[in-house]
Amino acid sequence: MTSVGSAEQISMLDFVAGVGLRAHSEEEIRHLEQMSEAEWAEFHRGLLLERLVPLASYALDNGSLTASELQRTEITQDHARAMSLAVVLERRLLEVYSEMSLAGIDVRVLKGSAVAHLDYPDPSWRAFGDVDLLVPADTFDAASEILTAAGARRRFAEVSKGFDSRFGKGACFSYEDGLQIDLHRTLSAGPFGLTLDLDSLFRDVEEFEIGGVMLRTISRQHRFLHACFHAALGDVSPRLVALRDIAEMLLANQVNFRDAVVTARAWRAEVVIARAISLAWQRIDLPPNDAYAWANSYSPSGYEERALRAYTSENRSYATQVAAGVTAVHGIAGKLAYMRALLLPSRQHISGRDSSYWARLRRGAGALRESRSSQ
Amino acid sequence: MAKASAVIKQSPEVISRTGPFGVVILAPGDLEPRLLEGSACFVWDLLSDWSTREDISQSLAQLFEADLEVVSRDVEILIDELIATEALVVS
Repeated sequence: MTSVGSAEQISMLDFVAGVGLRAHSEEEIRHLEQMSEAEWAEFHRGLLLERLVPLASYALDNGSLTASELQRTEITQDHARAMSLAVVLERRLLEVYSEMSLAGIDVRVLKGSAVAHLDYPDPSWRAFGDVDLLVPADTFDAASEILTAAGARRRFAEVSKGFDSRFGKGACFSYEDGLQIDLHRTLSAGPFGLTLDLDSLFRDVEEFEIGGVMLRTISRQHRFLHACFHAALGDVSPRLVALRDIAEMLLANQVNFRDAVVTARAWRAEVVIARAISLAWQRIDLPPNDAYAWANSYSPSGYEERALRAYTSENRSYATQVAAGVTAVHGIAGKLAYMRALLLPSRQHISGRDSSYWARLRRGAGALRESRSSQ
Repeated sequence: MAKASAVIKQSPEVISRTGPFGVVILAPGDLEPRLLEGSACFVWDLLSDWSTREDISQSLAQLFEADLEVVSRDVEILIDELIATEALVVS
């Protein structure tokens, strides 16, 4: 893993992602007004894509960024818009959470809203674009039905009947108004989502309040682990806000890093934590600390290396991740059920992802071969 | 409409965010979020505890060194709107 870069090397976006986490001297103040129009347009687009508008807004407020009146106005307006979306999403969250709770589903809020309320100095520091919920595997179907009855449409059909509640990461539901809810059974697709202790996520509870209602989420340590899963296993190049979450939790929120590593080891996912911390520290250019030293020197097991490849290799895809999950499924019967579901999916699922059974079989077989050849 | 002496407070059911932009609130009776800016933020902040229109107007007039009558009119309009959307509860 590479070393932390110098302050001169980091881009303006990376700088914004670290605002409030590093000490800034006078010389390190960045000046947006010195940008050309094209540079500003690109930076502004980056702020929106990386969900960094609130951090830029606070950087202007505390003086670590300076800007022209026009730039300042745009960022302030963007911040207000991001927070308007956040409160609209939280209203939808309250509706869905209440319906699921009434139906006896032990639901937990994940990511955006929970992290904004519990892990940042103020929820207005953190923008988010959807609602994420975790439900126990045996209530996944009931939770899906509640969302469908409320007008949400599932984006991709279940691989095959029973796959979601036994093996799947979850499903994405979208409403006609464009709002989206990600319903999770576990924290990740593929092998790392199959080896974590799901029961512990429901056992260790934390609460936060929205609109006078107390909502349940996973513990601070589990939120940190989830943030690492999201940053290390999600997009090829994770959003800067995802990396900021990790740094925020470790540096400002004092997550017990050593305890988190112990849990990750039990989940066979230490490499995920190491990758996430390395990515965050290198990209945001944070001063080295114990967590970074550990991440940089971590040597993954053979299993971890193979599993991680499904998420990070050039030809990564949902199919390769799911195929790589075979090794993580317990027991021969479980592995057979998993492989059967992958190779003989439902017609609805195929029509959403592949053109035919034959195309699916070819892709599934290819993914399985690839997963084995890398073992 | 609530009386001028009625005691009012932010409804706990309001979902909100406060920042350099002002205050974004989504009240039970609102279809869309509402952005409060400038002195409206100050009014909203005062309403985190039980208060009256008179007290709020006086605080605002004092802070901005403005005419109490003018301030009172603006406060009336804002508070009536907030009560109509259930952003405020009236004791």
